[in-house]
Amino acid sequence: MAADTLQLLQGTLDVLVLKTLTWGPNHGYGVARWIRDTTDDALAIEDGALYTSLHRLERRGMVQSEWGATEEGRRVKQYAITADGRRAMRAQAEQWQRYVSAVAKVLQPAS
Amino acid sequence: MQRIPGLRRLFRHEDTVARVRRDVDEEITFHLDAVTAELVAGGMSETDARREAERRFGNVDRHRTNLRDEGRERVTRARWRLRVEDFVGDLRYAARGLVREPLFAVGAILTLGIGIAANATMFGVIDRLLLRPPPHVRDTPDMSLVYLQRPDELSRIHTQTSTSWPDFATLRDSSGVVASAAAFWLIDGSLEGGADAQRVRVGLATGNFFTTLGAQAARGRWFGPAEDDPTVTEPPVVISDGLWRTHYASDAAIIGRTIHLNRRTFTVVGIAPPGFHGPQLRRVDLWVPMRATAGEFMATDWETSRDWYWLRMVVRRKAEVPPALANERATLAHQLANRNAKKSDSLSRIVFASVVPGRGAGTTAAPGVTQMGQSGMSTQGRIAAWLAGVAGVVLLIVCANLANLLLSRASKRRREIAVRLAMGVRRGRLVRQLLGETLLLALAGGTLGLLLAWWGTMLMRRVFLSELAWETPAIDARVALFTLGASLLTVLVAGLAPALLASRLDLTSALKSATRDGGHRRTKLQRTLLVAQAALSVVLLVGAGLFVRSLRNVASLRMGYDTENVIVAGIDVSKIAAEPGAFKQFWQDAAERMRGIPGVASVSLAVTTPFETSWSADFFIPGRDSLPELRGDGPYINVVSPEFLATMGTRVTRGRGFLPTDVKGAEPVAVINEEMAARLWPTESPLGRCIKVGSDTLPCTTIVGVMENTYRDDIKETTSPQYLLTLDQATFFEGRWRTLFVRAAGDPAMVAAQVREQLQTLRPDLPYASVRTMEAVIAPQLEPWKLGATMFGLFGGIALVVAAIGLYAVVAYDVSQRWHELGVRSALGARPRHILGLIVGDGVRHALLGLAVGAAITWWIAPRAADMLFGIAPRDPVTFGVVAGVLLTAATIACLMPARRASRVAPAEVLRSD
Repeated sequence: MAADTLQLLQGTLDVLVLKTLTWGPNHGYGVARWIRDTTDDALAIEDGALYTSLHRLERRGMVQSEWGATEEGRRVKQYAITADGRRAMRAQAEQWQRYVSAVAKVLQPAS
Repeated sequence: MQRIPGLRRLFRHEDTVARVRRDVDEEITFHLDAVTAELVAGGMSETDARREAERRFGNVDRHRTNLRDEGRERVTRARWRLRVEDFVGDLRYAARGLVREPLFAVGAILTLGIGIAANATMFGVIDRLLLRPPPHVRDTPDMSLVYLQRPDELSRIHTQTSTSWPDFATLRDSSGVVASAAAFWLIDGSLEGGADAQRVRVGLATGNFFTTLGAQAARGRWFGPAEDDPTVTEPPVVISDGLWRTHYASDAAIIGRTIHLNRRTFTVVGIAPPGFHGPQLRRVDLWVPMRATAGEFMATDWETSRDWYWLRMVVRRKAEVPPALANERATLAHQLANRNAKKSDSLSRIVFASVVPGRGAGTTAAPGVTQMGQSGMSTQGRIAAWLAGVAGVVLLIVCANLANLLLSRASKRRREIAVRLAMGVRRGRLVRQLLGETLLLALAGGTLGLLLAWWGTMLMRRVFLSELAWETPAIDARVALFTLGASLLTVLVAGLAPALLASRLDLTSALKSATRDGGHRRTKLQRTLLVAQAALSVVLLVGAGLFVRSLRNVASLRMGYDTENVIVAGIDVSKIAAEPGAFKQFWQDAAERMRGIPGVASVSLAVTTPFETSWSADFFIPGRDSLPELRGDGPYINVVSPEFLATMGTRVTRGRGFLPTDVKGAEPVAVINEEMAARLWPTESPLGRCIKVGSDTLPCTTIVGVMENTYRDDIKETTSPQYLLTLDQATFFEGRWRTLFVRAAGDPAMVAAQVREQLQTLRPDLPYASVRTMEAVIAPQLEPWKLGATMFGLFGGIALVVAAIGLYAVVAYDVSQRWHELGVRSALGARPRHILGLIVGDGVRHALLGLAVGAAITWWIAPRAADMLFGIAPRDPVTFGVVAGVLLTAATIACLMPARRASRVAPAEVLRSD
């Protein structure tokens, strides 16, 4: 069951991560926290999966990373979305919207 | 600013696997710490918060491993990309370098291209001639061509390729040796007749020929043993792919139709696959069954006589019999059969040799039998093998030259290289960069070489090997691969030394010294290379000289005829109805027609043709029991019209030639040659002597004249005793064997065309007439020397030019390096001619040393080629002398150009430039 959920989320998670990064560069913890707060923890995403997604996006050139420092001076890896990432995010978001509305149409109670 | 490959890396942050691990760990730790802190701030205990953070993260270890793997993969990929980028960068850098010095680039690529072309061409020829089985012939160890080795009176071993039908039958039936034995024979035939007649090459093959070779027909079928029978009235014929395409327009419907070969009707049963010409490489247009047709082409007693050596045998040995044993058994059977038949050929040995000539016999020969080795190869094969060696030497010279050019260039770039090293480019990278340059050179040179080789191969095939069937493309995959390999090897060998030398550069000294530095002029290696180049050139040039002089000797050889303007014409008259005198009448009519052609000076008939046929008949001198003086060497007889001596231009040295009065009924007369006179009557005059030809009971034939010696069979022969009789008086030769000799007063080509037309129209039902000039008859004799002279000359010339370019380049570079020193010399009072002498002397010294070394090598090696020379000693001093002169002249010219520049150094300018 958990595997099914993950498969469903594979592409979706990437979109979520990219969307998060459109608000500005952030570290992995920040991304996780933002998603958790925005969705009220409804998606129950493992934080580890987020990092896999970030690294995967980085390899595909949709995200860039850089080591920076926190206010307390700790070394931390910051991620930023690239132009390619923005393009992909827009395309996938649109596709997602279509998907959702199609599913919604089917699931609407017949009138 | 130019980009310098290798430098970028300095400023680039490079990922490593260890670093990636650390990063992943750090990232996870930070995350867990941050989440814990957040939860603690929310009121959770430290321990619970930590546990909750880990729970939210999922399986920490699994995620950690995944992220690390992902990272490692990324690093590897990045490294590869970097490597490719570096490589492309190196190549780009090298290309820029070559473009910046076009003279160097053109020189290197051209020499390399020429050297590669020479080798690729020779490889292509050798590969086809020696290294591969003929197309469509099964290449298994048991497949053998059969040779006979026969000792002569002086116990020298002669290798013979053909044998008689009874001898073939003996071998075929030696069941202890042979699994399948086939015989074949090639001869010219006439396809269709009259004006449409076309000369074709006919292969007579036994019924099991194709199955023995393991070949498949491309269309239709082969003929089999059942059809190889004399009783077959309309024998089958298989046509070659070439003939099918050119003569029958690739029409598949030809199968089943009939064609006419030498006026006999044949049914086409199949078409051979492209390139199939049996176990040899000579072109064959048609295959016909041997026993059904041999009567057409051969003497009538072909099946019983052991005197006709005509067949070639191709055999599949029994796999379980070892080759040496097979040779033994076959030899035993052969000798036994010949002893029983009371033939002298009871000493010959049978040798099974591979169908791939380069492999030789493939057996260890029994004691007393020479290895097949080279004698198993065709003449072309032997010459090709020699030329391949020569081409290899050319490549060595090219290698040396290229290495020298690269060395000069490398030392010219010492400062540049030093700067790059100082800036942090790694030495290994530097070597790679220099090799990148040589790689570019290899590609460019190899491409050029391939183009030249294509052209060269076509030329070789057309000019020197036109007898052979060439249906493969000039450049095939094997040649292309060879070319690639040879180019890479050459530039690697040539490029390695300079690259290593450059990378070992001492930084400080190189940076401190200016380009005018005179202390680091020429390495010992460069000097050695110059000497080696000169030495190898000497070897080739002497070879060229020896062959050119051989060719001149052969060409100017007086063969006992004036070869110019003589036309030799023959036609197969065996189809003329055999009423008595029909043949004689035909030839008389033909001769009469020839006499009517404008521009014909003289016409005669003869039984044999020099270099092609010769006859020997029983011969007696009254009062002598035997004739040991002849040593089994003839005397050879030719029976001719009285005008023959005039037609051929053979000079009568004593007595008289034939007269129109030497006719039937008059006293029989003979003209003998000087050799015969010298052997039989060494002290007295042969004139007026009586000889008896055919039988000692016949009346005397009186010797009335002596003519100059004439060559009979081979240019290399020592002259053999020969004599002439007249056709009118010596009537014992069958009337069909005649050849027409026509001497033209004017243009022989015009007359030859007329001769053909007259012969062809005299009896339109006769097959294709053969009309050639006497020079064409002799041409095959000249061929080996022509080939040797041309190829050695060509390769020698290339070698000389390449070596001269090399010397020029090194001296010119030297001068540019010594500019400052020369300026100082000049300022101190050195005259231009002093400087000229200094530079030229230095260059010529190398040439002299090379000359000495080369002469020594040649002195040692030349006698091995003695049997390929004619009328010249392999250590001919004149040739050596001329080559020395040529080499020194070339060296002087090569040095003179840069030396002249050096002698014009203006001291003030040089000193000011400091």
